[in-house]
Amino acid sequence: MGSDTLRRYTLGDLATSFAERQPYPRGRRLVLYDAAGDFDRNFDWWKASGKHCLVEPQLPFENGRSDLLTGSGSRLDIENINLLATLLVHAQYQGYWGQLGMQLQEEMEALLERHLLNGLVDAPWVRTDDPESDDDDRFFAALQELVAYAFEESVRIKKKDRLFPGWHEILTRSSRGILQEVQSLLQKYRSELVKQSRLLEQEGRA
Amino acid sequence: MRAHQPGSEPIDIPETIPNPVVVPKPTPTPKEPTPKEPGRIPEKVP
Repeated sequence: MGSDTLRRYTLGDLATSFAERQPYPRGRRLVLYDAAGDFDRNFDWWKASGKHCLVEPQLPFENGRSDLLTGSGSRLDIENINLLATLLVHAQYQGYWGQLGMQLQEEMEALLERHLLNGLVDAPWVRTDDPESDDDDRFFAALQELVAYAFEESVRIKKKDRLFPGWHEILTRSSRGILQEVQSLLQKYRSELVKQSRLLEQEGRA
Repeated sequence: MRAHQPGSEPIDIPETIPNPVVVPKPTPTPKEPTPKEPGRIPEKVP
């Protein structure tokens, strides 16, 4: 929903050579964890140390490769994925951006709740070694519901655009649809991350 | 990326539509590079 393209998948689109591969089949999913591909962990890791940042020479996990089946991704897709992945990984591994990542998770859950979509979080979005996560159809039903909601919202916006040109400005001040809300959420966290990074840079120079 | 790894080729998604709330960023117009100052060569003083 944060992308410049809305995509409706079929389950068959998500079939890869890793779907049934033993001993750890990843099923047909949008995101495949730990597909045992090349993973270079020699990147700086910003570890949280109180309010300070401690830079370590390696990422705190091995074999952490993830694959995302987005189709042809745009520049915005890459920026969004980098932003979200950074915040979520920091939340999981107590990195410097951990608190911001937790806050993002909470806000995303609240957003889904406002649209009565919070039940979708319980679907097996990623297949792990937990047998409970192996149901491709349950995952796909959740994805379809989310995508259908986004497509309907897109139709609603286009209709409003035709009937009431200029309604976008009113929309930004009043109740907004899910697509607009997701854009705002991403923008908010991107700005916050950039602002805090600049402050950190200034402190480093002082 | 090795061919057997998932994601090696972008998957073909049959149904895609533009997200109406994303305003495409204008493509920046390439600018002419600023002409370099000619290199100065020291000249022999008579």
